Amino acid sequence: MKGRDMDELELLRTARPDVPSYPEPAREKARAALIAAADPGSRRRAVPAIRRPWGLAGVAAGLVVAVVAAAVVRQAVTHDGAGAVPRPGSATAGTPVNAAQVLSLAADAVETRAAVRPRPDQWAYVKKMSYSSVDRGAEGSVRVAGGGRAMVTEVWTRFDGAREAYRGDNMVDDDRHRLHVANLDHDADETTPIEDYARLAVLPTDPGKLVKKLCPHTPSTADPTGCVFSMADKLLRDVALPPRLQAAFYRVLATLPHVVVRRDVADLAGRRVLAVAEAYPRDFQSEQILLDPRTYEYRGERLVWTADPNEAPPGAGRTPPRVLVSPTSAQARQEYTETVQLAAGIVDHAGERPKS
Amino acid sequence: MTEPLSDRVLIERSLGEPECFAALFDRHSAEIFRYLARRVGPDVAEDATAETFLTAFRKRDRFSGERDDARPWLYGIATRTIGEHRRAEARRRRALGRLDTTTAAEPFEELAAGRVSAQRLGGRLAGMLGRLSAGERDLLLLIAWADLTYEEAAEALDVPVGTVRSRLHRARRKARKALGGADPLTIGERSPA
Repeated sequence: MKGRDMDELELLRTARPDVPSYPEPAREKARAALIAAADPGSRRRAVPAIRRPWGLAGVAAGLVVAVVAAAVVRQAVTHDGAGAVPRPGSATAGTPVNAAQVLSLAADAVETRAAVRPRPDQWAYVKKMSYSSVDRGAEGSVRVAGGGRAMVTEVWTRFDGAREAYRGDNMVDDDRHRLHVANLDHDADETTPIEDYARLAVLPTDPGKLVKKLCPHTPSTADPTGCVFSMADKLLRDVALPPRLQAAFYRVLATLPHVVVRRDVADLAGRRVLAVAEAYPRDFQSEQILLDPRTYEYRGERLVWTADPNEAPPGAGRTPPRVLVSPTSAQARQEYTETVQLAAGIVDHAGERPKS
Repeated sequence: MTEPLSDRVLIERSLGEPECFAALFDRHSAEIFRYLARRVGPDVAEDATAETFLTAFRKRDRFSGERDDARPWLYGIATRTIGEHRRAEARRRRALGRLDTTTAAEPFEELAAGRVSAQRLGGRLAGMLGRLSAGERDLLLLIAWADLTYEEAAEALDVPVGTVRSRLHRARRKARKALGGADPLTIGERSPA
């Protein structure tokens, strides 16, 4: 039995593809980026070089975004990769505010709300608008998502993970007015929404304990921004997130050294939002969590370039793009993606909308 | 030349002297690149390798201090680099109503399992890989292509060794079926004939 068990593995081993060795230019580039990331001196020197040319572009981009969402889309689509056109939704749009202050206000506001406990047969409902300036097409080619439009789609996911339904814009020419329901096939490593809820429900709501739980290997003296921010970004969009945990996340974000908050940022739908951004000065990208400025509810997420890697190839103090695209498809590096929630809630049936 | 220090010592030292992390890159980047190249093709692997080490650098304070060898940890980050991208693509496609995964824009993990590997592996083996869940595929390839032990694979995927064994069992069972062999569980101890 043991000998037979080895068959598939042996087969795979012998079929192990021959690959070239790590090309020297790529190796040098990656190493230089790592050195730059590791060297606080080069980082300090690099900051003005990145910031100055893009500071003005950022302000201009903010204005563009503020006018109307449709303009944002056109702007992004016509962006030709030369790096001269202001980037939509720039990381520097909006007015910086005191992050700690705003986020603790946000925590106090959401904390008092009643928690909901979803049943496995209920559905998580989200109406979202999404836009991506690039899309990976067949054979690694790059094309614009949905013909360059922002897409509006309503999605229902059953909490037991068994089914999913949608209505609205799609890329397969399905009738956008009809409700499409499908059974979901789960990977072994994917959890269902109700399992996610169970995990969320037992997380500590004390900010310090929450960080310890989520980032067990981060020493208490080290910066947990990278660890916490990506988790907050994922968990805050959960429609069944317990309000006390939501508040705890805001309180944790309030303490992080590399988080900045800007108000009066226009989102994809043209709404004014607060943008909570993970901001490392040397980074090419900025990830942002968008919050409602009055209710402090989750509104969406955004990923923007803070500098143009095509115009300024990674050198001292700069990290290369973190988006995984072929280095030959330079156009793909002009990435800007945003997904905003227009409505969200828990409903009993697919096709049903939450009563507001 | 790199100092003859263990990976653990290098990483610990890099918490105070970040530039020490470059030695870890010198030590392991060629190997990580080869693994990524096998999975996603050499072009994408260039960016993915850079991404893997930058992520590792940023999260170096999360490296478990109990081990001297950082390879399983790095393989884990490399695997998640592929996986996160795949999941983001899948989520996006679902959100856009693309529930059918067989049409046009395939996520790059599928490119790896399907197209790239299909050219290199031959259709049957590629088809077998395609039928596994992402977690099963990661595990099988970490063992077959990165030569990790069960314990190292468990560390890379951040799951208990028991989970590795049961997942591997399931993966092999599926693989055998897909390759046209009989399912060992239905044969039991009888002759496979």
